[in-house]
Amino acid sequence: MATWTILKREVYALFVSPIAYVMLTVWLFGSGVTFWVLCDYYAGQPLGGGAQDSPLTWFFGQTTLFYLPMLVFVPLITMRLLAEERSRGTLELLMTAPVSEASVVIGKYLAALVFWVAMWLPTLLYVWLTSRYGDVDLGTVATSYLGIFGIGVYYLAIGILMSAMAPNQIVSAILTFLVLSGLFVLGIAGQFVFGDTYRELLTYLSIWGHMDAFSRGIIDTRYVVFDTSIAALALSLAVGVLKARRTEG
Amino acid sequence: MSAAESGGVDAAKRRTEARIYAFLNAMLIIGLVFQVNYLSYRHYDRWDITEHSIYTLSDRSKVVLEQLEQEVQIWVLLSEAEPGFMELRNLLARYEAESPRITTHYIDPDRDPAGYREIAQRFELGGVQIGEGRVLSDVAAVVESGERHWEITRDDLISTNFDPMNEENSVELNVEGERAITGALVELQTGRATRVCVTRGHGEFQVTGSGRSLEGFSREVRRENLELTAIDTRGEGIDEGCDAVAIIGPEVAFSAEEVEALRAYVRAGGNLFVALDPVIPQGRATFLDLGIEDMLRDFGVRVDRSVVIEPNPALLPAGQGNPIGPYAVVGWGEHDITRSFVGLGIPLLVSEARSIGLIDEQRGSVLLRTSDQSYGETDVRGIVEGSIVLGADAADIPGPVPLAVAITVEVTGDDSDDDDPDDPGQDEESSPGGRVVVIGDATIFASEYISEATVVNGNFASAVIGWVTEREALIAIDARSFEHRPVSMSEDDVWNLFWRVAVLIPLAFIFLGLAVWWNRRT
Repeated sequence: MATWTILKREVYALFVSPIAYVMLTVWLFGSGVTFWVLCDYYAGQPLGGGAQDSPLTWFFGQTTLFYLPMLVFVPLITMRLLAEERSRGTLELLMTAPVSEASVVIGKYLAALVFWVAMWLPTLLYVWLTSRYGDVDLGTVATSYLGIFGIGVYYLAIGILMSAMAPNQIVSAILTFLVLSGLFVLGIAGQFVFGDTYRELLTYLSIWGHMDAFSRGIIDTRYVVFDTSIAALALSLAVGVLKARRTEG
Repeated sequence: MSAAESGGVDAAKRRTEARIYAFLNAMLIIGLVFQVNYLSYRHYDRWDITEHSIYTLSDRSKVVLEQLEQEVQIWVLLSEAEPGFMELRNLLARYEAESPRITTHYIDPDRDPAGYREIAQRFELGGVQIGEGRVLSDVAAVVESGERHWEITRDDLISTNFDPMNEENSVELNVEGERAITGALVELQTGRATRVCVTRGHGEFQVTGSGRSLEGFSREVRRENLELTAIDTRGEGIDEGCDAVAIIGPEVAFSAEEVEALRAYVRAGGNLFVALDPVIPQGRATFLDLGIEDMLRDFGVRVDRSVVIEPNPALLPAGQGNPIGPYAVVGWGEHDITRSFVGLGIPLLVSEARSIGLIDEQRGSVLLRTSDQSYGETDVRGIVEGSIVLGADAADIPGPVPLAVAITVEVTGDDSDDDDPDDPGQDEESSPGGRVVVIGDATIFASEYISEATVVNGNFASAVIGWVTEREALIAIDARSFEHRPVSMSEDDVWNLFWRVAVLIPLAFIFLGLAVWWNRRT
């Protein structure tokens, strides 16, 4: 019940804030330009590529243009959730209320997830627009969005953890950016590693490997488990951090 | 120590305990997550949600993977930049998900020349191409199991066809990697290519050359590691190295000695596949006796003197109204050969066929039947003179007419023991060898029918050969082709897209934001 109350409050706070709409506008403008650039490039290529060759497949994870904005926007979404409350002193007030740390973390996390979904929903229009010019594999589209949701699940969880640990929003954003960038770079490093075991491990950790399967219409249970387990780990640690603060506070 | 000091020490002790507890808790959770991911990585599944099941393995591949007894290493020697590489990678991931005995390795000859050299030396691979400043291997993949390995070329793995004459601007796509990889796995299981010996010297379809050629069929089954070899049946009998003997479309009679050699071969455990057209010599109004009819009757197969007439217009190709052929056949029997085609909705294309039946229906299986409206015309004079009146009479064979049968002949090992001409054979589930398939049309093996994607001639031919040679792994539908209309945009379309995705959509959210702000203000 407390989780639901916190979730509603956070979602309301997010969507009545002008910052949310600025973020959404910038995000959609960036996505739109990315999609348009890919369509422009694709239109100039000769026909006869693979069955999965379309600007939509490229848009969903085949270029760095897909991943780099995430490294910036996820910290922006999560930086204020716990760090801002801590820097304003309202977190301590919240902790005195009869709510568990888990309710606070999960409520705020789910609110961030709602915002993540809201960011990606308008891109369904890209799918509809593309379908007017050729065949679109709806199965592949569905798994692509599932992959995006999965990325949001564990990226936002990492962001919540950093927000719980950081003394203020700026530090939270920087820490989140560093961790997510580190994971991103690890994935790229996998392409330069020659040993099969290390390459497999880095591909498993890599967000590229994650989206490569989903963007082609494949649901790989390994990545589903990875996303949910990392999210569970990060949220558990965030709860632990809040509990430690309450104990020591 | 005062009470305050004591309280402070207790608080510090509690804080330390809390920190240790939190640390241990965190380590436990991290360990649990690691374990879960490790188990998930070892035991996982991949679900193909694409509309055309691009990454789903065929039943054949699954059968082959189930039968794997040894570990298999697949070394892919392609660059990631090569077209189709990612589709191949996802396909190989499906093999790995399907069988824990499969392990794949990727070596880019251009980026990892040392790694490639090691593999090249180990498998004694051929030369390396230098193209556009890049290093490419002429072998695309090596499939290794135990001491044996099988090489797969680039053309075997990746192929894309474009039909510029297609009015809907669609692209037909083939993912042939599965056929090549599964074929390699089959080869490694058997140790050598399956050898089908095709008879010659009687006007049959030739293994190579133009005209009545099996070149299309040979190309189709090459990837299944199946080899077609031409043999002479005159002389010293049938080569023991033949996994099966094929007689495809003879137009000249076999001699008595040749027939006896064939009979002895089958009775000794050899496998036989016969495709017989109704042969009517020019200027004569009778069917030519090819000399093997009596032998086939002894095996339990009846070769009728008839030409099958298919008057059902729904089964005739558009624009071609000849009831003698070509026409479509969809009446599949119940047999391992035809199992994959039942309910598929894709026909076998047949032309100028004759009826083939079983002397005892309990002793074999009918593979194919024509429609109920069809019949086997026995009046050869009418056929020669072109004066056939559609409609079966009392002398004709009523539909549905059987066109192909499969039977297993009793293997005696010594033909002199077989003194009972009334014993046509035995039940299907008999000892190895002695498999006989007879089809009443050789035209199904013509190259233009074999390579036609809208009919199952190629797959049917592979399935027949697979059953006859006891290579059950071949019996299934092989890699798919499907129509795909690629996204095509003009320059105007691209600019219109820009206005919609980069301007209008963000603008909508700006207005939404202003509306929310205004609502809050008021």
